[in-house]
Amino acid sequence: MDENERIEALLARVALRDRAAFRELYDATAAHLLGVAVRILRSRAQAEEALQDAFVQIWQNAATYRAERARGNTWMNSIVRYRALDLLRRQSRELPLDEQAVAQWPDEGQRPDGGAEPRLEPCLEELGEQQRACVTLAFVEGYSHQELSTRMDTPLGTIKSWVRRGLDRLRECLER
Amino acid sequence: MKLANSELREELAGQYVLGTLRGRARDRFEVYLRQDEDLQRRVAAWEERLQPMLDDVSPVRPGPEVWRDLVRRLGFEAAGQSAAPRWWAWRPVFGVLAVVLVVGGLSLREPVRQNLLFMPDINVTFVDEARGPLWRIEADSVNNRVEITVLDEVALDADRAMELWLLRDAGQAPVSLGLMPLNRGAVQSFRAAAQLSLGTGLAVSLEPAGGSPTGLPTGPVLYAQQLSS
Repeated sequence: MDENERIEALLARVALRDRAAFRELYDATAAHLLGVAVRILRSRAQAEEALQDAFVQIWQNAATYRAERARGNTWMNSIVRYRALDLLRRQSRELPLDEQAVAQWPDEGQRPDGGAEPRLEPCLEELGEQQRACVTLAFVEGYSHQELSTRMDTPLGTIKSWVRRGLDRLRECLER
Repeated sequence: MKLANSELREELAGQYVLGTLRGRARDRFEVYLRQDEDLQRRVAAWEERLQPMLDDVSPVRPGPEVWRDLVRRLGFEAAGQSAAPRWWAWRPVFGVLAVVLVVGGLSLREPVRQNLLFMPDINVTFVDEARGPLWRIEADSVNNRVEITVLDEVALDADRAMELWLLRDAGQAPVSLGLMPLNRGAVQSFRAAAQLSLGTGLAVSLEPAGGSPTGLPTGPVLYAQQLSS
């Protein structure tokens, strides 16, 4: 059973109010999910709040999870990211953000690989450098259009079109 | 936000998942998303596409207080306790669909039945908060027979079914008792596939047509009721 199958099996038990399974699910995923929230919120305290909110949702909504519609870890990652993005609205984060964290991503030669699905990376590769930076900074670090514009010192309209075209081209590439 | 245009729907779904759809536009999109299956599919597809970017995010181990507070928020008695699943503690998931009411115990209003093979000692009525009583379930735990009467028409998409489950003691998985009849007035009588006397509750879940493919509930539990022994 791979990691995702294990998560899906745990989610099925959580849907039936199995607290032991919930604990197991938490132990298996919390560190990764907190990592995801920290990248967006840049604050451990806020990220832990997002994580906790996310697990409340996971407990409450596990029965609505459909394995045929989404992979279990995708479903959980999404809940955490959306919660983190919600919390982000409460704070007005100042740029520059945590430059050290930003520096890890997504410079040349430092793009995700290893455990990553083989299909996305070559497609990210195909995007121009700017489009790729926009997509990864937005998805992983929670950058808004405005923040991208500031960080990349590029007009907002140009950023918006990079993001839009980047997404279009990614989809085309993945559907080939 | 006009959402008739397929290209626009795709773009909004992508930007929603990416996180660049912000503020009130994001709020409005979420309102659409709740009821629009096409948008839900597009969003799910984008989530799946972009997900690999998160694979290499460095994990950060949460402090122990995160779990402790979580357990408190969810109202679990104590962390680490209740290692066993509590099937009877199923809660309806959708507020609107939910809520159950029960007429438990022996029904005294029923005329004495002539059929000695069916002497119900379980009598449960599943009542929908919005629609009123939907089913009466009588069961004879000695002869192990169940009779379901549809009190009000239950409208359901053709690709969906409602499945009845017998909940058992902690640690034991629920057992399917079959699909619920849906046509008003229909009465379905059958022999239970599991020992009713060992049941601790009854529950109805929403499943794909033909019932759960896994043998366990896969959809939300819409109605549930504990049986007193």
